[in-house]
Amino acid sequence: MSNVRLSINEREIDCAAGTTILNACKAHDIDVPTLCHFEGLTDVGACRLCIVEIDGMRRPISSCTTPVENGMVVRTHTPRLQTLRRQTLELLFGERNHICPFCPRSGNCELQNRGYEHGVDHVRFDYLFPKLPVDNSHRYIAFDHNRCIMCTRCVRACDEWVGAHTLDVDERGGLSRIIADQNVPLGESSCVSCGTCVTVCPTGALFEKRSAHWHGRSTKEFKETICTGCGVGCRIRATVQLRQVGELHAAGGPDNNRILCEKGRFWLTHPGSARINNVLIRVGGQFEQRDVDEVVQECARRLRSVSIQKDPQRVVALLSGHLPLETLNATQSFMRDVVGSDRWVIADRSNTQSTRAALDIDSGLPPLAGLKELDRADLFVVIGANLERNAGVVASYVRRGVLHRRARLLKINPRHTWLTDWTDVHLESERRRDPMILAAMLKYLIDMGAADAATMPTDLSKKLKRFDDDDISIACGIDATQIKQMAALYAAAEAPMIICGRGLSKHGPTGLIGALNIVRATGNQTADGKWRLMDLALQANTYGARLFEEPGLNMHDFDPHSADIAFLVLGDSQREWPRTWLQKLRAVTYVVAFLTREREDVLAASHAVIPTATWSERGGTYVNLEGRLQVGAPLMQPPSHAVDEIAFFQKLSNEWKAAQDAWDVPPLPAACDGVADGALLSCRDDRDRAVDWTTLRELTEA
Amino acid sequence: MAKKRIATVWLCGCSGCHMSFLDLDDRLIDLAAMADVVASPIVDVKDFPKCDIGLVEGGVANEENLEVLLKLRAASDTLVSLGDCAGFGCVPMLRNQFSNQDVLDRAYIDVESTAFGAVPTIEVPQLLPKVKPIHEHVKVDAWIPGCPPSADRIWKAVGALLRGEVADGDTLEYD
Amino acid sequence: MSRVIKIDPITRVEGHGRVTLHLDEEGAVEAARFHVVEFRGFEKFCEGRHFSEMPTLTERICGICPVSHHLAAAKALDVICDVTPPPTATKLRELMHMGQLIQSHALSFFHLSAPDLLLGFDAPPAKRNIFGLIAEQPELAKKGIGLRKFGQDVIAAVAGRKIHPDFCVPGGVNRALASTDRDALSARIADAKSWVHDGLTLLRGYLEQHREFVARFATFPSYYLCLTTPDGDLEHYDGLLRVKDGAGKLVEDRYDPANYLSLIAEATEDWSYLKFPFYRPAGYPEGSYRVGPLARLNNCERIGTPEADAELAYFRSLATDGAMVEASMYFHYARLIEILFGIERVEQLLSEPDILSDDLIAESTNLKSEGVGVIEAPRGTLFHHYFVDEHGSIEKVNLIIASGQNNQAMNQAVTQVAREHVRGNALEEAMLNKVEAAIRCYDPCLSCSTHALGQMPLRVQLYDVEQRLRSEISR
Repeated sequence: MSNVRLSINEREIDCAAGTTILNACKAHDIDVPTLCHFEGLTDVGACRLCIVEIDGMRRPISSCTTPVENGMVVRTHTPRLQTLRRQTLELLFGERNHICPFCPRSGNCELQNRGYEHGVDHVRFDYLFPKLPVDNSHRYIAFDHNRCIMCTRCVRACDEWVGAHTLDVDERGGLSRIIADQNVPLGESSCVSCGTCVTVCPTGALFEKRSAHWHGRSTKEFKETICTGCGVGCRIRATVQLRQVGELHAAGGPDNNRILCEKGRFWLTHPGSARINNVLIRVGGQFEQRDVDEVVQECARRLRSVSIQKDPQRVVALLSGHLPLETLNATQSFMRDVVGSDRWVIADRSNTQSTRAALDIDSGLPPLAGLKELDRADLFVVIGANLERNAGVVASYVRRGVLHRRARLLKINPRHTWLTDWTDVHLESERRRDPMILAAMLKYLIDMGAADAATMPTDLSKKLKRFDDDDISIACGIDATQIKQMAALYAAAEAPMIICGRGLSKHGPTGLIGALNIVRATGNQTADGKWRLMDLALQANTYGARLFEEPGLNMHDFDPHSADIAFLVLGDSQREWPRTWLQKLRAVTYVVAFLTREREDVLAASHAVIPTATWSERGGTYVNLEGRLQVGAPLMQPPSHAVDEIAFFQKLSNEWKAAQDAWDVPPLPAACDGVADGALLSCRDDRDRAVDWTTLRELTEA
Repeated sequence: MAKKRIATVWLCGCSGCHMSFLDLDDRLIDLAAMADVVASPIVDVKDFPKCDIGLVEGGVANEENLEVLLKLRAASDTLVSLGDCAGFGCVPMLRNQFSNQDVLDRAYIDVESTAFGAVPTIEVPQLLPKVKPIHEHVKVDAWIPGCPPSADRIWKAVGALLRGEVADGDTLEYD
Repeated sequence: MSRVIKIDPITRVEGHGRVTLHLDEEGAVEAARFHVVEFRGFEKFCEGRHFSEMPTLTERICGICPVSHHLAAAKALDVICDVTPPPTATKLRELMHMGQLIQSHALSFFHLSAPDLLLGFDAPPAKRNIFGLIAEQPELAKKGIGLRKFGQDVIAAVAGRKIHPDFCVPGGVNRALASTDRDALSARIADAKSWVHDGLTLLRGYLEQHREFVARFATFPSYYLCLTTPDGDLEHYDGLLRVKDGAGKLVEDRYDPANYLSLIAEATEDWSYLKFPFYRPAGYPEGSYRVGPLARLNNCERIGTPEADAELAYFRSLATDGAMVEASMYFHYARLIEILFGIERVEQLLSEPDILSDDLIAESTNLKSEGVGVIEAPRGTLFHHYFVDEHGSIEKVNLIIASGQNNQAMNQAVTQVAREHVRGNALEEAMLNKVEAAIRCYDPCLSCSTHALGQMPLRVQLYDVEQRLRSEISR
């Protein structure tokens, strides 16, 4: 790009053509006041604070929407501009009902700060006193229109970043107002509850109900860590006040992600139940507050029992995939190395044996694309996923791709209905036939010459050739022309991205292998060699957990009478536990649960309850769905009642085993060795996979 | 130099600015040496004599507020708006979104604890249609925003006025 | 020809009021009325806002005791959010409240009322104020100023600033106490105590010296209402309601403040913006009751701190017929005893081992539709009652303010004093000042009571029987 030379405030400045005057100023530490500008959003020149004078132009113009030109002579802080800015600010103050003293944003408000900078000690214009609503209908967010300055940052962020476009502007001029959808209360709108609007709001118009006043008038300070809500692993910035996390904002991170989803933004700070503050032991039908050592001793006593000495497999452990790698590692090592049982499992429904089989996890992670690639994709195939619920940030990337880059959208058995008008092909088939559909798609891609059969085992490509449209229609239970249409769109796309959810992987590995077959056969790789396939990991450490040796407990066929002791290491985990599993556990003789918050069905099954640190109080290592290793920092110290799981198992081992059998927690899996925070783990891809055709053949013949 | 004369009033506000004025604490003694507080809610003189500085807390909400404000304006050389209510209308201005009747009815008739409720009408000043900052009614010479402005801020501004200086562009505070 | 005298505004009270005295032909007072002339409308304009703003919004009702409203609001929200603040948060709230008790009582006594007692009711009006006190009795004035400053500094140390802090949140507070602040405050306790003891000695001297005058000055029976601990001891932050009648008989005890609507109601009069609360079972106006320091000390069994309890014994000896302490002037004495209590309580709270803890916010997992927050503000029992919808929007607000509950008593006091001291045919300024002094005993915070304020000059207006203005005297 060519360079432009201009003068700003008597300084000669070089910058790239196309840069706005505002950005040129910013790049050279010239502080031009703004309100409607927000880094990363399209500039609209709405607030008129960033006006500058340019020689040869009669009137000041907004610097955020004016590109630099060669030879321009710009002045940013003339007396005339300052007068105009002050006047603009006074008009803003007088236009609505801005009353700082009880506003939760006071002290952290951009309008207030601009007022201070420009000496607004009163408003010379008559106040309008409009009657404006306060919309509290949203579960987490309050919207006070009295404090809105119509900068439209929320509207632009909701559209450009979140891809939701729930917010927009109604009416014109002095009557204009931000509305949700067709002017419905925010809580009844299509809002996805990501809170991005609150993050970008310059005033107290949008604020978080829960924590708005937790900071008083002090300036908010942010600490950075990673979200443990799902496998996307967004980096978050959190305001920490006393022993509470206030607001959570997206922290950019390696992929410069600017948004969070409802889970990251609100669920982490809106627990549904009370914190457990004591070690509890069941005595009779009641829990009593006891010391943790009593639990250690009781566990040791039971571990010494004859039945366990004879058969260590009678000890089982269930772990949450939201826990850091350190805790998972210590627990699984305790089970294997101290107890001698491989009956442990990470209770993550996206971490099934079929996923492990498909992606060949045991000896490394496959190189799959991450968030950044979603922003480059021109076609999305979404299979068996409820993006909105399970990976809201991915949903936003897909939506904004479709809305703003006109990316194509193909949906196979999605659990959601959003973007209906924008979907190119939408297949509603029986879920177990998803692998057939992918196989059929691969066949059509080969037929079209878009996929290279040579990359596949010869018997696979031969088998695929044999099927005709009728076979496929019957096998897939839907009209084959739709699949053909999908294949054609996929073939035409430059950077198509396949996003697989649990709906695909829970019916065996064939679906995921089928998807992997397609990206490989079509050579659908990013510049840095990653396959354009996203396997949605439901939990923060789903991928991290895959680095351990395969666990030996399968909850589906678990017989509770085959276990004497069960360790439930759950942390904050509230949602991923099927009720049926927990009911089974009630038949286990002795259950020790490690968790942070009351959960009725866990407590009902437990004989001892150990309170642990919550996500914000523990640091630790996580591996996200693209294989990125991230280290989260603890935002605060755990409370004194919290027991560290690793320390517990160490203590138990010491209590139980003789000195010569002493156990030390082993280091993390070798794959993590020497990997820096934020770097990708080395990924492995040296195996050809083939679809299990038995199922397909059977179906076709039926 | 003759001692300067200061008058203070509070109109529709919460008295917080006057309390902040009293937060001058020991400096009240210094102030007493430099100036006479000739009329104020904290002293007993009930009419405004001529004064150098008039400090106004509170916005204008009723007929009486307006009458007092006009008198103080006439009596003082320099009229200073003290605090957010006088300068911006502030919290009392929230009333402006409702009709006076609605506001009075809620307070005197509808409220849960009221028995034998009626809106007062005799010997009480009538509410003006809108609560407004004082400069929408009279000329104001200086503003000290804040809810309330801190004692330090008041001391600085009043000190400057007593010395006959224009209160300089101090950092502002709205809350 | 009948005449009406207006004392307008009443000065050296925290707010906007005026008194009218209706005189008969001979110039004797027929009737007296205390009018409160400001109104802001908080009950209405809080509607629709999110409840989390209530502590910082309602404290703007009053700049003298913002802390009271801040706390009552926070307590109502604790109920609505179904949370109990962590122990340290409760202690810090009480600590701030004690700071407020000290500063507000110090203001009332030293800045506003002491000029009457020490300079004389008939001192020239231009001198009869805190500045006059500074000139005449600088040492005492400094002690008064110092006490108020100590109270304000407690508030600032705990809550971040002296007036209108943003400190309480539903389920706790948002700021931990710094150890340096704790130590600095602890170091000032001894001085503060000695100042208030000096004040007490001085006031006791005055009361002894003017026993006759004081005993007859606005003295009448009434009900008394306040919070006490479950054991009946003095309590300001929490507790249960207790009512005694004029004879000292306990008529209500351990009454859950959340049910206040069954206990008290408010009447209105068309000549005042201040409502007239009354004890419901006794009806209006018979159920007139008093709140504030006099009520609290009359009602409580013990104060609970040693030095203040020692003063309580003398206070009890002032009772009419050995039952209740009735003369309005004794409000001042009760106020100084409470300052002493406040300082002792600050001392106790500062030495609590967990006072510096940062475990200060309890999280809420539930939302209720209604909450009542009740505390003993310096001037008496303060009720905040909010109704919220399922989203947390305020639907209705009811506020019963401390000073308002003394409204009937103040009218009674004004009438009594006016009849005794005002002679319309030989009017002297000091006579009218005594009428005002009767009101000052109650330290009415009229900004609180009507949720607003203002001021006008004193005028004596002479009306004929047709209510036509005949002549007017100003001072």
